[in-house]
Amino acid sequence: MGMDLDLDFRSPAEEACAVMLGWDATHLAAPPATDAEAPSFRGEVSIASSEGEADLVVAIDCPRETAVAVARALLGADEDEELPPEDIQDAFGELVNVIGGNIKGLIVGAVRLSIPSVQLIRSWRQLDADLPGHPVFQMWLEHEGHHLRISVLATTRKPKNKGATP
Amino acid sequence: MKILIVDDSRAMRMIVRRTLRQAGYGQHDIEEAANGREGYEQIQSTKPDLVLCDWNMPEMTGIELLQKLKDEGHGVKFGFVTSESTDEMRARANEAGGLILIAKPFTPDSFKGALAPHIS
Repeated sequence: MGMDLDLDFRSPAEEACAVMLGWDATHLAAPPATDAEAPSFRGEVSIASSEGEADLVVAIDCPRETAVAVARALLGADEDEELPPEDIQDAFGELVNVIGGNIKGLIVGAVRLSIPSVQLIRSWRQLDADLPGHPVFQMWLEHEGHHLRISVLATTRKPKNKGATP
Repeated sequence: MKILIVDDSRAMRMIVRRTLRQAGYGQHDIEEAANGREGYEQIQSTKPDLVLCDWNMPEMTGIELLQKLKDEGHGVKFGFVTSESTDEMRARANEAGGLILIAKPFTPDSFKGALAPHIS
């Protein structure tokens, strides 16, 4: 694949949560209990070492309530403010973009980052059964009952949205 | 001074606008565009003094927009606000005439440090 993956990807995720969301997030040593039937968000960006096939996918998964909390924090919205679905997707996608971009910056040989895509999936069970590659790194962050799973996955599929960097 | 924010994320445009205010630049006239092509059209029509532009966008990327402006001899001050800030990208931005590269995630202080030399 031509990329150096012997890296710790924790700091980009922790820094993005701290600076963008104001979250003092805790790194969980083990996956938290999750409601398997809860509607859940997946945001992802692809990282490629050359044109064409993606080599890695950075996927960020969380229950819907966490994505709403992310959007509220990013948009400066009140706790009781109802956000339209497109604002939740857009804000969550920006968190994914920032974490993915900073992870790409750590990888020697990475040349291309896709535009983020975000999906609301019917249940955590379904989301968990459909990882878009083989995990080479995975971590959980927790903040005030909200959980984010950050995965870096090896894959060989075509990028969903072709990016243009550098 | 007129500042144009170009980013395909409405959330990020809002965050950049808020951060400009927090960094002490709230008195400036701030406009927005949702991708490079829209940004290009707005630069022609409203003539901003400074463009703060995402790098990776659909339609036209930030570096494509800067290159197009350079090719046409446009002298607007141009900076990137981007999640990627490798040495290679900084070099490419400089070569195309970019004055500023602010890495996401950013703070009001990082904005102030990057923008102070370019905003009166």
